[in-house]
Amino acid sequence: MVIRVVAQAWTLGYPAMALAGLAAVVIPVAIHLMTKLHRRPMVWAAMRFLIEAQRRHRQRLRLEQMLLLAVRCLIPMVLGLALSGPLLSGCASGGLGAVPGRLVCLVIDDSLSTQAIDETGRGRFEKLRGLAMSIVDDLTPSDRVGVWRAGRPGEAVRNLDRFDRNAVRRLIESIQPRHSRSDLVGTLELVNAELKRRDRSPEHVVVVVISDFANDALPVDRVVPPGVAELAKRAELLVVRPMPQIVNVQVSALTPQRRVVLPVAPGQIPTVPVRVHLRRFVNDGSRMTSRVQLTVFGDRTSQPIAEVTRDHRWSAGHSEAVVQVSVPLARTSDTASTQGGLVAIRARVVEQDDATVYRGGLAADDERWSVVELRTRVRVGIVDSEIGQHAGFAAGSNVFAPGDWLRIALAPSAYTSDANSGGEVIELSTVDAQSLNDQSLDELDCVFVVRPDLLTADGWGSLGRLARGGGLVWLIAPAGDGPAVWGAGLREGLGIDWQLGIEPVRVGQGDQTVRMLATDTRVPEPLALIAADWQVLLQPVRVSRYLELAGVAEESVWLKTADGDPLLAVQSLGEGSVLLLTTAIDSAWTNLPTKPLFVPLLHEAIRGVLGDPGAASDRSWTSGDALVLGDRWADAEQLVSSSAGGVEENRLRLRRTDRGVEAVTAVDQPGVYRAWPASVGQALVVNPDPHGGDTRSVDPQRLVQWLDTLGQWQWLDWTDPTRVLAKQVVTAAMAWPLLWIALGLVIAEMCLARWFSHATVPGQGWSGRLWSVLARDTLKRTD
Amino acid sequence: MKTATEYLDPATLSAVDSLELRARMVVEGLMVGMHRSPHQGFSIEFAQHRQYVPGDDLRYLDWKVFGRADKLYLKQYQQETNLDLVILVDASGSMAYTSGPWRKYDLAATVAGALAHLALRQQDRVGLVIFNDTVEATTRTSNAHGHWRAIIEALSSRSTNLPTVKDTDPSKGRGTPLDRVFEHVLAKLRQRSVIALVSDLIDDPAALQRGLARAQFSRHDVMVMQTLDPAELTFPFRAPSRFLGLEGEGEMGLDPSALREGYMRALQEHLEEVERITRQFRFDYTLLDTSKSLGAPLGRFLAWRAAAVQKGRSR
Repeated sequence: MVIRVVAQAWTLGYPAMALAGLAAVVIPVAIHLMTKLHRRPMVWAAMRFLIEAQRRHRQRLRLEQMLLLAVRCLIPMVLGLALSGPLLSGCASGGLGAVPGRLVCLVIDDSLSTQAIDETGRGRFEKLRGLAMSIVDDLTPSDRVGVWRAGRPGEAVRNLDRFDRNAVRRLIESIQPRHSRSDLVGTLELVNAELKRRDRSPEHVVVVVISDFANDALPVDRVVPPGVAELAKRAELLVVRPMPQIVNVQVSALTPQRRVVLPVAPGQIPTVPVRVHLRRFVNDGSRMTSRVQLTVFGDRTSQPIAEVTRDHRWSAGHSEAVVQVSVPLARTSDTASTQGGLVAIRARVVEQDDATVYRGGLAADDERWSVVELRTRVRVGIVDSEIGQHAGFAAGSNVFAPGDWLRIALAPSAYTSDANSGGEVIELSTVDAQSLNDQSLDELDCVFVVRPDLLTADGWGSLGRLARGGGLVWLIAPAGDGPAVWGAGLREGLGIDWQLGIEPVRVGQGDQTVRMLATDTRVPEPLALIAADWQVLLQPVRVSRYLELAGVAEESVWLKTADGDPLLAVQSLGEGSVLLLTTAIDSAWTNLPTKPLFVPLLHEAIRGVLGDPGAASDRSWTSGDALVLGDRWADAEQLVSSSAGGVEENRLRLRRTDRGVEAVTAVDQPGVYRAWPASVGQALVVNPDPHGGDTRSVDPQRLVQWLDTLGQWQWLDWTDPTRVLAKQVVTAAMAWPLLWIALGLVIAEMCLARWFSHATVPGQGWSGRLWSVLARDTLKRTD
Repeated sequence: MKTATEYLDPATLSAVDSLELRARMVVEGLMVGMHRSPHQGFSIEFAQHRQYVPGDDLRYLDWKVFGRADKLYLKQYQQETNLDLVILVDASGSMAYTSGPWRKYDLAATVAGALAHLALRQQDRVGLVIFNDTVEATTRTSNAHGHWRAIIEALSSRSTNLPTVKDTDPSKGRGTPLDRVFEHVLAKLRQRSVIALVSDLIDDPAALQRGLARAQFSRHDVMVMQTLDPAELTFPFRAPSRFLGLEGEGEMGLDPSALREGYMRALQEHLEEVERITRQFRFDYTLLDTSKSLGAPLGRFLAWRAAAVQKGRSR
């Protein structure tokens, strides 16, 4: 019979012998007591000297007796233990030929893909957790255990510490899978850093990687990072075999075509075109349908405003799809005209009883959030000269000034019978360029500067502040033959490092020399709604004069000539944007104002650029991100997410740092987070990492190749995960060492008994001669 | 047949029941061993000459010296009359201890009888005091014929009545209060005497010091004879035992071998202290081992005594 004692540290073959040895301890104790009880009384005269001697040596004599008794008690105990066939494992056996206690680093992947559920209805993470528990149950008390979470951001949830089985079990039990992608490499580098920090310890290090090894878990197509390679030299890697792949349909992106939504006309329900990107992992070739439900939630209420459902039928072999839906943002036209604010849109793959409607085995990535800003109207200012303001159509002239073209394009009703009815969603106002200041730009969302040459330094500064605060500043080259020296204002006033030509490029007279707009340019993202007609709209536009513009990134150019010279470029500035049109809105420079491109270009640019890019950049986040927010969040203390039913679900505390407003912890739970206190009026969305929802398995062969480059590693078997670990526990037979210890104790007892007896005359036998050798000095002293 | 010197062997003496006979054997054995006249020792004899100074008593002029040297010298004597010998014998409980055939008291009584016999043969007066924690018995100081028998009887009668463990009362304290014994004895002495103290002296040395100080103050001479058992001198025990004090110290369970070193050190310190105190007052000290012959220590004692008297040592 073999029993395990003290959690596998000691294994006794014959525990009865150990118990007998323990019981035999009573023998020396009994003898000790009996010698005290059965002493023969002896009359003695010189008690005075005995009392004096005992008074002097009482402490020493008592210590000697206790020491001798302890040694005599140890002898049967050790002897019994030696005869019980003990086997020692763990660190205690280190000095006896076995390996010492190990440092066991459990790296548990809790990324999004581990939330997937297989055909049996069991979740991947439950399997991973169960495997981790099995390993923990099989560790020995001499081991030290650390636990790391590998879902982005990887972090240590328990540093290497003394093994407390229950505490580690509770810790693992409390881990819930995240919505972020896997960060195994980063986590392994963290483990390496921790081991490096405590590198002085000679323990055997085992790193157990418990992951489903979904497709995104490890960059098997890249070289091994140095930190992981260093870890492999320092520790032995035990790796779980990849899990089988699971079919999954995911909402990989939700893209509203407008960040700022305006009603098409007063009284109409505003809508926003939305693109829902679907992705199907593990294409089994079957024809299936995914049902996408789009739900709109208002700013102040958690009740849905509107709901739209679309079905998408997957074709065989297709793994990606885009569903375009126009989503109403208001319940009625009345509410739309009176209410603005942030509107949350949720796209979700829903499941119905119909077996052909399929959502896959991972539900956590089936929904996605986005936020758009609903405005009832936009205030646009036209910065012009005082003369220009009255020179055109408004003054009864047949010649349109640039400002007139803009007014007609932006607010055509101003020139119709119901002018000044106040029903336009774009409110126009005119600002004198020479007296431009912060006050004149107050409450404007967008300005068109048709006379930048008249701006003062203060005027440039005011424009910069407008753009940085989230507004749109559209600079237009002024008509005229004078040199364009105002380009310096771009650098000095706005801080944009573009080099604008002083003299306009004249391309002659006649159609032969007029440059056409390049029609092969990609459609800028804010103009996506006119992408279908983009080529058609560009073709009739001609340019005969423009200012050269250099230093512009290719992706910032919206329009360019057939020779590639930029005509319209955009630059983000703070939370707003700056657009520069290098040709004047004048027939001598271009025919653009008279062509169909002009009106949609202005309107789409206003709707598309307002709110982008600054607003969008801190309104959409991915699980696992460390939030860094702009100055608009300066007064917010927390972020609060609410469920669709209005129940508060999650809170994130914010703090001010050098980089801005940061969340104390990385965000994970998807949803719409609103600023608290609510007076701040900001909101952001957090969505699952679409890469984390890749439920395909990593290619086992490539994984093996990647691991082989590390060096020593082993598979951890799913059916018997502790087998590999158990081999690490080298046991040591303790019988002979204990017998030697018992012999040592016997010799020690003899010496101590002889020593403490204070005998001066050694015996005549071999023991006496031995004693004479051992205690020669003592004898000399006592004699 | 035993020789005379063998009479001093403890093994021989212990075989003799009669104390009187033992004392006689000791005296005879002692005399044979010394080959000297017994008429030495406790007598008044000429001490020295000194030059005459005006005012000296002319009766002590040595006319023979004047006739030969034409110088005036006075003859000086140690004492004008016979000395008194007072023997103090310790009969406390500790004197009953023995590890062999002979108790310490037996030795003390034999020595006392022998000394008394020697003194009486020189016509000196002898007195006996037997004490425990108080003076138990006394005999008058006399040199009458038959007085020696009275002394022997007193010693013999006490021999069978030594206090036992049961008789001791721990509340009265332990040991023999020698200072009080000396006080009691000195109060009754009317002239300068020789006091022989025979005891194991397992007592506070300070009490002995006080007693000897009083004796010196009264110009008496003291012979201290400390009697100890060989077991007390060597502490040969090995087995753990319970030791029961003979003078009410109670009982102690201990391992003798472990305590031997400490015991021997304490005993040695005590013996050195007793001898130092005795020598401090220029008295005589002798340690008597109950296992050894009485001849050597007694003979050495009497020889030393005679030499001291010859040198005129007096008080």
